[in-house]
Amino acid sequence: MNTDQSAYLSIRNVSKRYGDVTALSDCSLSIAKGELIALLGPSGCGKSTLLSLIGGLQYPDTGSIELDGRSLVDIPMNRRQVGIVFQSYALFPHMTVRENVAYGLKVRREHPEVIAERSAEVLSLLKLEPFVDRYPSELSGGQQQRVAVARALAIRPVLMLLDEALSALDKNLREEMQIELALLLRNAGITTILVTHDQREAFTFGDRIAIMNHGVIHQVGPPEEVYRKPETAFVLDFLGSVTSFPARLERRHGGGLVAVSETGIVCSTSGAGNAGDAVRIYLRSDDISLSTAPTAVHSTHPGTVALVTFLGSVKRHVINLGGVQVLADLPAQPGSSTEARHEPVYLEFAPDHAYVLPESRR
Amino acid sequence: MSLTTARRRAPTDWLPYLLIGPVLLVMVPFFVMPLAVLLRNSFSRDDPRLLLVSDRTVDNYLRILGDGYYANIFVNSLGTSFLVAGITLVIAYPFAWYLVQQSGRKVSVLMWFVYLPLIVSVITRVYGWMVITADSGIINSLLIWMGITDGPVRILFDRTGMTIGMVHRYLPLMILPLYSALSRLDGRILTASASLGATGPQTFFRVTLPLSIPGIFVGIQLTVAVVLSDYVLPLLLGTTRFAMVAPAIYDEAISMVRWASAATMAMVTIAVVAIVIVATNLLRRWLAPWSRGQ
Repeated sequence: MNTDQSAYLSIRNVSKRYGDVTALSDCSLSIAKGELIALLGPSGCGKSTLLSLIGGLQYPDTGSIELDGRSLVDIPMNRRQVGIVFQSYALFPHMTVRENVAYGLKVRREHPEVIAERSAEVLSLLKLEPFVDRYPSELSGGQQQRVAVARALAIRPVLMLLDEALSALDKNLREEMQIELALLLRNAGITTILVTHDQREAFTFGDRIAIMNHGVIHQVGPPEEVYRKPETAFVLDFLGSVTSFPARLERRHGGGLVAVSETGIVCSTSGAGNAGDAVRIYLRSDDISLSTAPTAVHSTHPGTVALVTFLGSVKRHVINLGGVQVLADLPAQPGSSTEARHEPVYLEFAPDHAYVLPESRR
Repeated sequence: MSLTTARRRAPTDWLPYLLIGPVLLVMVPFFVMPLAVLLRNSFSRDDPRLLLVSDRTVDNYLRILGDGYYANIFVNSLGTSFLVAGITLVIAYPFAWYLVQQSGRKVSVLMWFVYLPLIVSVITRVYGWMVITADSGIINSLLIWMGITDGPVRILFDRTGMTIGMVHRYLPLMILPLYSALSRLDGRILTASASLGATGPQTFFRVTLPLSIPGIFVGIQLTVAVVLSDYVLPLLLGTTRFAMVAPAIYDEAISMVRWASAATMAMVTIAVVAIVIVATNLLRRWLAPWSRGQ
């Protein structure tokens, strides 16, 4: 993707340090025009730093950031025309909703008619007409969020940056806004980068997800791809609930490599490696099924149920498998039988749903 | 539990009185009562032989509000108040803004310099200013030596010297509310302003300055109130040719022995301060309609 000629925003080998702390190390990312990208990672992973470099709040130590072929690095923030929505919204408390939205146009000295027309346009787009004369302190969190988005849209941004923009909202409103914003920005064709630590939000919003940790972009791809084909242990671990087993590579007859765990789980692997290498086998909780008797279909492994918890749409089973606690999430249909504690069960998983990755030095 | 059981008193019944009691013990005999006496005296009559004659007349008020001599005193004092407030605002604002940008340790050191003048007695400082502003003082020696003036420029014992002294004395009262207002300003709002296309000056005049209006008004109100009632600086640094309220009341009461008249001047001063505060509050509400309840 990094050499993509059609890239609209292209970030190449960007690094940023704060004293001894490396916030970003050699990050590259290409974004097509009109694309919605979610930067996903735990707090402190560098996603907000990357966003602030794109927005012009800070300068990268090395590397280049280009928008439509022009370098952004030397353009001061106020001339980048990048719309930013902050987690705290950062609305102007001394201005009404209308004045907040018109602010970017006023400081650009647009014609009053243009200001009125474009403000009205975004105010209606975000359904803010009933509140135009209110001050931010007189609005609910969701309304403030809309004002922040409207204010950023009013300047017709070449790029939109959302920095944990929905995190301050309640769960229901947040999910509603995720969809509404994704639709709105997609329809407007605005290239957008969303920073979030919430996997659901990233998946709802992004055409592609960039997963980051410790200042490094681990993987970039569509939601399903990063979920189904994780390239690093971190990506695998961060998306969903995962149980891992220490294992070693062994060469089987026919020359193929298999990973064998101490608990006896055997997985074929397509990855490179040599016999004897330390690896880990990863199992996602929703890829595992349980049965009370061994079946021939998939790999089956005997264990005992240690704990069952009800999580709404699924029931989480904690299975003791040779000393390792395995998480298995099964659909929680009404009336479905629940494995009782201390019952012996057989763990089943499809061979292509087990991941074998080299033992990481995390 | 039977109905005849005596109602247990909750601790909250007497706790408020216990908390504000000490303040009332000081304020009632030493502030409220003297004020009541002043109010009563202001409706009494001055008599050359009997001194204060009890009465219920508004003659004192009519005379003080109608006489050019008294009106002049109030005009002088109010004018000086706003002049001092204006000068301290211009000096304090950049300093407070600088202070807000600094980190914890530096702020503590700089704050200490703000508080320092409050620790040193004003009389001590007055004698310091005298050395500097006198006809034979440092400023005038320098002016004459540089050939800018032939003779000394009148600074000490004039409006200029008094104003300089007041600006220095009351600067902390302007810096502190400004610092407090500016430090509450969310830095991300300024970032948002820049991201929306505003230049530095645009952000200052459209965001920073309007948002510091409440702090500016608190500073102005404090400064105006203390300058209006300042006695020491007009007396030691000023001139009787530019009469100020507090020394004038002292003269009226002690030199002229016109207690009713002095009491009336005091009541008018209180009214003037009250009017200034109400008027500036209305102005603030008009300038910063978003700051309701702040």
